[in-house]
Amino acid sequence: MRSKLLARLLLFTMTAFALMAAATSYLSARELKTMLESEYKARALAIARSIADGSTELLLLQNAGSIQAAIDQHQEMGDLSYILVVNSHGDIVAHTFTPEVPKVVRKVIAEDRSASGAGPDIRTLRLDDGREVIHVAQPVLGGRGGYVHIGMDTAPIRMAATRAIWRQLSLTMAALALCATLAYFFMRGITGRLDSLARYAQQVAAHDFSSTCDVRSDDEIGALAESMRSMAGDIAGHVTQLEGFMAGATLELKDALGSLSAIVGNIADGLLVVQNGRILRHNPALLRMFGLPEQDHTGQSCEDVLGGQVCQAASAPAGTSAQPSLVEVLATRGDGQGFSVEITVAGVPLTGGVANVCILRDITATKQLELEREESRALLERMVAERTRELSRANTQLKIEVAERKVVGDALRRAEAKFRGIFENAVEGIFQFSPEGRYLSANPAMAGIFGYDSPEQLVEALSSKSPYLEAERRVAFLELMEEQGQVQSFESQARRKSGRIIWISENARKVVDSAGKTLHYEGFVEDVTLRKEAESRLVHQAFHDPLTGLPNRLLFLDHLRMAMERARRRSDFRFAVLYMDLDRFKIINDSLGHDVGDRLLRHVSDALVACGRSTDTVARFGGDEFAILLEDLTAPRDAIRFSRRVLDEISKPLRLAGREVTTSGSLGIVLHTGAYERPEALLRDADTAMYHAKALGKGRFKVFNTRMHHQAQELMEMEIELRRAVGQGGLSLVYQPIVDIRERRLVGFETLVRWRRDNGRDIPPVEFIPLAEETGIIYPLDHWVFAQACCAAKIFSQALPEVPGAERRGLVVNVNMSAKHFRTPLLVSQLEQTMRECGVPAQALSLEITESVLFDNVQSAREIAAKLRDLGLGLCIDDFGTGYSSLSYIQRFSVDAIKIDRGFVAGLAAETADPGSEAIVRTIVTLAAGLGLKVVAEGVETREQLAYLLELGCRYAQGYLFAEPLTQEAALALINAGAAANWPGYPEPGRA
Amino acid sequence: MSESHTQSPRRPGLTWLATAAPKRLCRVFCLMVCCLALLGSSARAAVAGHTLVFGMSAAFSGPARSLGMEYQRGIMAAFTHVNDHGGAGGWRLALSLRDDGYGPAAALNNTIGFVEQERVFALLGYVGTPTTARVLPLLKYYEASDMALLFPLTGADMLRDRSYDDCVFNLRGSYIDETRTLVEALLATGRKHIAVFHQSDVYGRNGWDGVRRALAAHGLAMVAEATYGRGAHFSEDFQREVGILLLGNPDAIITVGTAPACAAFVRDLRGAGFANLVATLSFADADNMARFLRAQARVTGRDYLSGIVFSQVVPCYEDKSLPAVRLYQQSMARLRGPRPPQLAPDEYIPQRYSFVSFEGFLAGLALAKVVKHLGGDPTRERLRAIFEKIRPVDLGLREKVDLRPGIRQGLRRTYLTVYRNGHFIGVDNLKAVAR
Repeated sequence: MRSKLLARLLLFTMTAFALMAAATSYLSARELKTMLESEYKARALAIARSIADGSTELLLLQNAGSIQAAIDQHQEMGDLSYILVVNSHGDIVAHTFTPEVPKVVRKVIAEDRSASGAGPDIRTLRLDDGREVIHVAQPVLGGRGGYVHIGMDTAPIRMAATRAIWRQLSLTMAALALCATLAYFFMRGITGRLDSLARYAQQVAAHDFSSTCDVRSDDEIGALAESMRSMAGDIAGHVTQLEGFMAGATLELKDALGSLSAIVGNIADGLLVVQNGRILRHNPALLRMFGLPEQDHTGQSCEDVLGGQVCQAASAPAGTSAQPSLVEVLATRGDGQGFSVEITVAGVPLTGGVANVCILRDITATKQLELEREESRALLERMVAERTRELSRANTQLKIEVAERKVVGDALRRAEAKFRGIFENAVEGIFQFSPEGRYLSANPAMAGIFGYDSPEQLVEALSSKSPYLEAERRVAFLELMEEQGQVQSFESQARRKSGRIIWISENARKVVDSAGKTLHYEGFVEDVTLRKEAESRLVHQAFHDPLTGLPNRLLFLDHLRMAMERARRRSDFRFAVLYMDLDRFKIINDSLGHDVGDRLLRHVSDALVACGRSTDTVARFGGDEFAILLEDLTAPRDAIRFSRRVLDEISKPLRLAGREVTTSGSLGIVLHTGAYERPEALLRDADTAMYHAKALGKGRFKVFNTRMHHQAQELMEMEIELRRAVGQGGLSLVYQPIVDIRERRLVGFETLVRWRRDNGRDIPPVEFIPLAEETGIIYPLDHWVFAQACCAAKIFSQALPEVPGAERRGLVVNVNMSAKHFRTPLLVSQLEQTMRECGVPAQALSLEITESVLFDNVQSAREIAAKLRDLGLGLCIDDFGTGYSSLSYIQRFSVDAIKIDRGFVAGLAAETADPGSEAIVRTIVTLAAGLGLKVVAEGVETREQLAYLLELGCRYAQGYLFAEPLTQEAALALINAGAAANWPGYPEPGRA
Repeated sequence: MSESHTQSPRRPGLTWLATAAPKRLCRVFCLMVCCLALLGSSARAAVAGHTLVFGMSAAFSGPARSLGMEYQRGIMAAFTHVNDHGGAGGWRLALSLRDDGYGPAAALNNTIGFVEQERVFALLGYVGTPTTARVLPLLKYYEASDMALLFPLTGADMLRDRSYDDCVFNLRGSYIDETRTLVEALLATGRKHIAVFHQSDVYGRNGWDGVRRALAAHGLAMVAEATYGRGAHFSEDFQREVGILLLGNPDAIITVGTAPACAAFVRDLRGAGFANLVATLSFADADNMARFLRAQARVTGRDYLSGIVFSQVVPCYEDKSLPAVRLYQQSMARLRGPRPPQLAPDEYIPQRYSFVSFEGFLAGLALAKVVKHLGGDPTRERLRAIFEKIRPVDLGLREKVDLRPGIRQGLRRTYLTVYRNGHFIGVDNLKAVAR
């Protein structure tokens, strides 16, 4: 078998190989031959051509010798077997044949003549001596010069082909032999192992498990051998096991047989095996039951031994052993006594036919027992019924319990659904995630926050990448969680699915199990992007002016502080602070409306920003005030240049709401910033400089200098003192009498404030009143003055009755009231209260106001003025004619008196009399008369003036001509002197 | 070589240089150096101590060696005579020998050796048509140095071509003349069926051509022809060729071949029963042929030599009425001394006298006459000039010989001889020869 397989495989391989080798060698030889032939032909053609070309001339000359020389030379090259040259007549002129030109060649030459082709003719000829040649006939000059014939032996081609075949064959045979050897060894390796496997299988088949198969390798055969080995092992095991089983079964059978015999012998019931009416087997119990002698009745007739009735019952066709038939028959004992016997018959198929196996039982005693059992069963049934009742009761109770349980379960489910609903529908995102940072669950709101369609998507997406924009937030979150067990308002930036960045706030806690191990974290997440944005907006608003978007005071101060810091650190760092205020902004705002005002402010802010560099800070402090911080200046003149540019820019006319608006600004500059400690001080000085600029006129700038500083300091000191003076009574009042020059009597006083400073110097009101107005001291001051005036008025009016003839008309005390008061609606009530406290009638007081009151805030001033007039207070316009008085205002403000400024009065009736003044005074007087207003001339000092005033029709006057300002006591004395009725020592008006 | 050659390494010229064996490269280099030297001092090249050296390449071995040997002996006899008598115009004449074994390639190499290595004054006494035919283009190549081939032992037509007038100078008549004389003589005897047996090369073709033309002049054509390969020995069997020729049923056969071949052919021809006339050309070396046939006759007992006409370009060397013959016989008798070593390879027994050596002797004499005119200015250019204008010289023959280039150059007559009683004798016609 082994040799057959091996031989067959080898034979097949070798045959295939040999066939292939033969085919390839034949083919390649053919190929080579064809190739060589074509190559030889090409070569022959080339040679023929070259000979033809070289012989052309010689042929024409008919010089056979030279032609021969030429062809000899070619012949010597060795490639050609012959060369032959034919002239145009067809005669052979030269050739290289020896001894003669073969007939074949002659024939060809003759053919060529007849064919007379112009091209070369190539053919293969077989010469007389058997050689085969490639014959080329090359015409010279297209045949007219003759022909050149050459022959090239084909032997080299055939030799090359043969050599190639032999080479190929020998090579192939060598390869074949090698392959055969290899194949033999290779196949022997396979078949040898198969053989040993087969032998092994035969041994196993012959139940010889002793030997093993030693074929071991990792290929298929190895696997086969391995499985055969294991199979053989299994078979051996099975055989051994089966034999063991068999022995065991035999033993068991023996035991069973023994025990069965014992059982048969020992059972109390009678056993009878009957077949065809004959006893096959019986046991001693049967004999005892039937009272028969103890002997073997096997083979005897059943009827004979046991009686007909029993035998009939036992022999009757019975059921199977599984369902034995049961009959009860009356049997007869050996002694003739009858007894009841129960026979169980079962048919057993035995080898000799069906045998009946019968168990016989004497049931005499059993019958008796049955009766007793009947009784006990009745008893039992009763007990059972009782028990059943009990059980049904318990059952009912259980049902009730079950129902209750169901109710509780429903409630739980409802609660679960409720919480689920909360979870699902919560606005906040709810999530659970593992300590490793993997999301366990999330609700739809969370998915919504992160821009996912469903929580599942979210969980999947966030498992692979952290939602946070900054990866370290997760670490921070987990650290915080481990530290505190919870995180609250953990705000971070996160990336939505769409890539949009949002702010989220997380509140989460750690969920631990009973052992304290972290199960997961759960919490809420909220999209706080809107809040964050609002916050940042608020922050921006806190530091910026909403109208212009410029930094506000706070931010400016901050920048300024930083600039100062920088200047402290770097000596070469210069900066300047500018303070700007728009001139007449208030007027524009009031007259053209806030809208235009706002647009103007925006325009100005734009201009400022445009003039400044990016490093500069332009801030708006509210109203029309701007501050500019110029940083990193190379020289002070940079700031000056900036100021000029700003002022130029601002002063350009502007069209707003269809109107041309022109504004200008005043600038205060602080250049020497090195000495300041506090930014506020720096700002203040810039402000001061600005005020100076404003004071110099509109549209200017002023650099803060030391003098200003001193002035400012001075002012400050003055302010402090003044404030103290107002509070502590450092001020005093004097009263300038007002005289009715027509009736020559005292009609009232003008209250004047006097302030003596701590250094003893008296400060005139023109100096400190503006200060007071500026610093707001004016409010307490004026109130104090008013209160004093009220008291004085009361004293004066009380003094009046003592003066005969004066009671008809009371004295009026005039009080100067700053224009500022007309901005506070409280004024009226305050004045009213003061008057009430002093118990002075309003008619006793009059308020002197400057014309400027009328222009500032016209509407409110008018209302206040009207209220004051309603109270009964008088209203007098001070220094009339110096301001931009508008007569319509005077009428509208229901003023009851005007005072002619002392400037005009001084121009009357003097050496340097001013005809203008006279005209003004006359006009005022005429006007006042027309409007029904009282006219008071101030500063009357000479009789001439008095005379003049009288002449003009002015009724009231005051001045040194009558009296200096008096103290209260002096005033009182004057009243007491009866001045109210008749001015003592009235100067006679007249001309000098 | 232009500059671009050196720039591009793939030029064919350099490729050739790179692939050529170093030896070949070396040889080319030497060749170039020699050429340059030659061009630079052409006058002094061939002159060494008042001796003019002439290069002779001939068959000194192989079947045709008797031609070379005899021709050299004749020349040497003349040189010895001239040199013994004070030289030619004071110049001693010397020969430098190289063996070409009747092979064209060897002849070519020898010539290059003469011109470039030995710088001979001129080439003298080349033997054979194929060899000389191969050297001819080389002479054209050396035209600038005026190299000349003097008195070659061949009657080839191409050597008499006018284009070689300035470098080839002949003494002997052409094969055309020889064959024409033969054909005329044969026709005169009434033989019109002429066949040709010839060597299958230039020499054979020349003879064949001569016969063809001569016959064509009479409106005839040769009745048969057969060829044999060059270098045939006497032992060669020519029965097949004889058979071919006899198919034409000729009444005369002209052989154009070398001595051994012709002798062998005659042997087989006679063996085949052809009793009619056989003619041979001068190049067949009648003396040598006679030697072969005599030897053969001794074997077979037949007389092979009768019925053969030997055409010759010189008179019979036994005609003592000619001064040249007398001088020749004296000089040959004096020719002694060892053979030059390069002639040693083959055993050769020289003829006492022969047509070939006589021709060589005449050539030597003619050369001496020319050299005498060189005087004190031995340049090749002058040599050629002398050849072009020299008056006919007296070589001791019945008429003077004109050496100037042209149709009348050299020995014009063809002598017909037959072998009779151990001697060659000249005949005027072939009537007596015919049997």
